[in-house]
Amino acid sequence: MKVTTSLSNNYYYQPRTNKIVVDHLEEDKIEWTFNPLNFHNKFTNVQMFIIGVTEQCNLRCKYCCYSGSYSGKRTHGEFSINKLNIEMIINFIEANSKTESKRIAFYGGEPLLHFDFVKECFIRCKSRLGNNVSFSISTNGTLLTPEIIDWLLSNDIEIAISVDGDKYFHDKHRVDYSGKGTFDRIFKHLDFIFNKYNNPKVTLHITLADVRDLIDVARSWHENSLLGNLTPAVVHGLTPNFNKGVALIEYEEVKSFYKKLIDTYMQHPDWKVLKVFLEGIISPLKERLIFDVESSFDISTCLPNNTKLYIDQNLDIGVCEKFSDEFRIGNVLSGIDWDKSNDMVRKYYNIKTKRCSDCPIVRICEMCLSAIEYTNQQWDVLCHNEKVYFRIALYTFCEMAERGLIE
Amino acid sequence: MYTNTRTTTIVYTPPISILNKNFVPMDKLTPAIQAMGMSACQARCLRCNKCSSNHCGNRC
Repeated sequence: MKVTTSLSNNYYYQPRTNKIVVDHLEEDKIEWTFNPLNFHNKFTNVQMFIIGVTEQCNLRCKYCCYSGSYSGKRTHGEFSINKLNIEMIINFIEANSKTESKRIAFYGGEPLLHFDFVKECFIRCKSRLGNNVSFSISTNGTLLTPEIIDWLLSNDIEIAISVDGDKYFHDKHRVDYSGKGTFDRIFKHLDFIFNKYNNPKVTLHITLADVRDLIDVARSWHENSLLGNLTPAVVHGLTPNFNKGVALIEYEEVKSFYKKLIDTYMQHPDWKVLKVFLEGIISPLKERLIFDVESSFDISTCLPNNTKLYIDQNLDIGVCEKFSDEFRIGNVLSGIDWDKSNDMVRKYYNIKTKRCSDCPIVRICEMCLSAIEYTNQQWDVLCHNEKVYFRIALYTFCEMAERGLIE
Repeated sequence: MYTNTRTTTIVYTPPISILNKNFVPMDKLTPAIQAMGMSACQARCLRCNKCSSNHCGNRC
């Protein structure tokens, strides 16, 4: 795979060595061989348990995966986990985490709609699991109060807040039932937190509904008196939604946009949103493992090497919170259904061995087990786009390296 | 990447060492190879060890 930078230099990605080179040597036709699948009946790396406290949410963000527009995903519902089930959840965590340190993440819906549950769950987890457990909560931020903030931070619970930009960009998508923007409601809480606490355990998460807005989002974030001093933890894109159609992306068109992003970053290296976004794009390449593949290797899947498990409102177990709600691998009470878990991996393995045996980007591919919900035609689209995104990442990495922008 | 030489000529050097900086030391290669069996997000997660900084976005 070849990319050409602005200086007309060519770089080639070599799949077998995982190296980037300037002198292209024609490689043999790639034909990966994958290790046969083994039946698994235990997890060894699970350290994080994401508890979906409730299906309820006080907002109706336009891009929400629970809005009903995504197939396989639940809609905003009424179910919440009852406090009576906390002991059962802790039993499940104890039985399925083999790592010394554990992390429990409160997720939703909006978990602060059930702050009593969060509090009690935290207290009982601390009591039973000891000091090697850490906590976080993902929230839209609207229901925070000074008292809740103080309680969370004094108990070392990390607060992850969704902020999509300044008022204009945030309010475009993050709205309540009546369609009213929510920026003002969270901004006063952010103001409280960052004025009262020095370096609080608070992370800001940007969802970029339209990547074409990125430069404007970065500029307005930088110009905001409070946000401009804060670095977002991550800039997310949206999960592909085939109900709305997923377009095949075209390399040259996307490349020219990324060149514009890098040009802008050169001019404004202090625009934190742009920096975080570009770091996210190149990280799969920057952190890739460089060694020759000489023999067969395992197909990459989430199971059984998963580091996290998701507990939903019905106490059913998902591989992760981003997975289709139609795929569950057990229940808190009955434990992991290993047959189901193995069936899912087998289905994915069969698709991957057919599709990936000659794929040049198999070592960097970001597709995961959650793709088993897709049809063949949808896989065609996703594989095409994944390859284009990889090439874009390669171009971005090389272009930034040439310009001295890689730290 | 550019380097200023004594003659003030600007010489272009492809930044190959930056592009191929291996984050995995040789003694950790075996677990790294095993990690090929993980999904990309989880392999990244295990390499990172910065859970409390919530940096990768894999932390809900």
